[in-house]
Amino acid sequence: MQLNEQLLITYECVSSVGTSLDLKTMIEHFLKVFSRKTGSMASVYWQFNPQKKDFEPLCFYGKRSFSTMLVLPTEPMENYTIVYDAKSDKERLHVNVAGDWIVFLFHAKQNDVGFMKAIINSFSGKLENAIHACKNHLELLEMNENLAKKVHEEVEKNRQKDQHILQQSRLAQMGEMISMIAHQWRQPLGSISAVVAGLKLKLLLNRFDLESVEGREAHKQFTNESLHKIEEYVRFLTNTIDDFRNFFKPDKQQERISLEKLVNRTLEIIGKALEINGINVKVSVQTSNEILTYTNEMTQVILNILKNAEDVIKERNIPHAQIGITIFEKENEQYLEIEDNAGGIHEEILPHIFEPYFSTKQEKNGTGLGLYMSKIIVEDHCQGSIFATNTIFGAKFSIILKKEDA
Amino acid sequence: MFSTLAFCKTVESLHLHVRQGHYLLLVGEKTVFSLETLPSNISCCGAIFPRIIFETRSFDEGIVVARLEETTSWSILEAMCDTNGIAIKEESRAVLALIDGLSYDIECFLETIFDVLPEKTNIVGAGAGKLTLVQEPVIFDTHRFYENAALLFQSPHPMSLGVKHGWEAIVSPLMATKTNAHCLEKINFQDAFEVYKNAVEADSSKRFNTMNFFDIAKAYPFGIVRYNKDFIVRDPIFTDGKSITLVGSIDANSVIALLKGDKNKLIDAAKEATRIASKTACKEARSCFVVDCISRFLFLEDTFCEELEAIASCKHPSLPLWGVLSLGEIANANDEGIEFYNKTCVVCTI
Repeated sequence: MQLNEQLLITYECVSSVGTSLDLKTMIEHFLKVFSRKTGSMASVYWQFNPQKKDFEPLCFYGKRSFSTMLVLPTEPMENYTIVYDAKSDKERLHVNVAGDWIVFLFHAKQNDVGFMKAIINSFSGKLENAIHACKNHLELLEMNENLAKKVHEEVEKNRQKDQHILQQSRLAQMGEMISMIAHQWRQPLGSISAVVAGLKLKLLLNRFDLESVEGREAHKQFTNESLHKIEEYVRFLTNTIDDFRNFFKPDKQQERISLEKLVNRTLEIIGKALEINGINVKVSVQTSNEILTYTNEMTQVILNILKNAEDVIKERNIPHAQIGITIFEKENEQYLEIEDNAGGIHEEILPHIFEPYFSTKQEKNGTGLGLYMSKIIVEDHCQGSIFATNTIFGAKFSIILKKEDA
Repeated sequence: MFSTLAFCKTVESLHLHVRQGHYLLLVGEKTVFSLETLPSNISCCGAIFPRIIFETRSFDEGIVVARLEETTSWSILEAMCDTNGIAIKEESRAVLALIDGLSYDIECFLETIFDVLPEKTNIVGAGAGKLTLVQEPVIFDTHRFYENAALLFQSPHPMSLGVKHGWEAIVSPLMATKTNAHCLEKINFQDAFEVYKNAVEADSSKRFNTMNFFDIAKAYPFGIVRYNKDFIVRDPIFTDGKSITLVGSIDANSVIALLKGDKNKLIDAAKEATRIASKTACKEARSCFVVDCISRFLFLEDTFCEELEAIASCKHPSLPLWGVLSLGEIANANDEGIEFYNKTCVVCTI
């Protein structure tokens, strides 16, 4: 019967091992079951702390008043040693498992404590594996926690980097914008100057006979016409400023707009500069359907591509310079293709042109951020795609955006 | 722990047995009892039990009145789950705990009390409640009744204890392969009731489909196996046709046995418990306190009075006999953990 009982108790104790991956929970349950089944009055689990190079109690079961008796071995001790404490008339069983110590306190005959020792010895391998599993699990949790922290830090760093790049890109574009404003304003300012000069000259040469009714009428008409012209030129200058100011306003939400309108809006900004440089722009529109997009950001993209085309055309002195813009629709997508006739991009640099800080315009202080930002805007913000290819005439940039109902 | 004892049939006659002081009242469940009718010159606390014991008789109506000694202190734990409220004095050598016998916090309560119990202190206790087995406020003090509460009495004088049940295994071992607190769901990976029914019907002529579950089950409890020690008995009280509800919790993977009772052996066990308690009784002992399970009373029926007489015959003649028939018994027979027993007889000299 005693052997049978031992087997049954062993079964129960074995079943209590490995019930949790949390070491404290698992050991607490094991100590409770083992103590209750074997009549141990108290037990403690001493866990080795590698940092402190010392043992610390992880959990305790039993009467708290016995805790002082559940001491660690003071000198090297063999595993499963039974120590008799004459003062308290109690037996201590010391079990070393997975580098830690479990100490049980019994008030029983040494023979019976020997049986308990045999019981725990019979499943010590399983207990050791369960403890290792808990410790490994904890290690894994800590690693995962660190990993998550590291990923979060890196993502934050990248976000800050992107913001920095965006800022740099905007500053660079602002410089280019000022140059474009200068181009835009040159002609109307010249015209204003011409009108004012004409007005002044006529007054100086007394071209109007202010004594006669006809003369006064002619003077009035000429002055009115001149002022009207000046007004028109000033309105043009104001519109130009508005265009540029809107361009720098970040989009908060998407707008419904056709690609044709986007291109026209961009040409209002850069068109004059292209014209002055003798670049002929040809726009072919096959669809006027609207899409939902961030208009200012997309204007920035088109502007970047056109400005790059302008730069390379000027750099390579291309005669009969031309930029073709085509807008068309295919299945659920709208395409915007911008192609120049400047001879194309060198094949070896073609795969890198969308990388940050990649530029072939060192001599002109290119930032290398324009196309990188264009890619971020099209792909990340607008969920579209952008890529460049070489044609027989030059470089072709294709932007693909999803139709609104796609 | 208690200096004088008395029994009164009604609460109205209580004033004849008390004078100024602190009293413990053990109340039989059929007693018409209200706090408003208590004598105003006493401070009291107590609990309601299915039956109470005084001398060699048990009563479902009446009150046992025990006057607390000057050295005895008492406290009430208004919620048994509030384990922070449990405080045992270092000088206490004996603790009496009267708890809500139908609480689901018993195990947690006992583990905490064991944790804080001084080294040489013993504890005895009883589960209060009524035979309806519906949890209700059964613990009281002068001011009000409490549900899910516990009363703790502490004395610096030691007590001696004897714990025996007398039930014997007829089918063993069985494995409680799935449990949930008080509910035994699977035995040997099969529905617990199916295994139980087959084993009980094979041993008796009684059939579960023709008889009330508890009428049969009161004679066939479960026993939780311990190494080199007696079973801890668990009383089956209810089934839903698949699982069995027990009085007291059972851990998953416990090795259990199906037990059967023989009236003579149960009475012998009560005698033996009294002998053990009397053998080590200390000189400060004033009475012999019995916590006997109500289901032993239901099982022994008319012969239960023989159990009380057997106890009376073995105790020291100078110690008056009193106690309760409870819903679960509490004791730590030696230095081991405190156990919550069913169908067991706990005798102590106190």
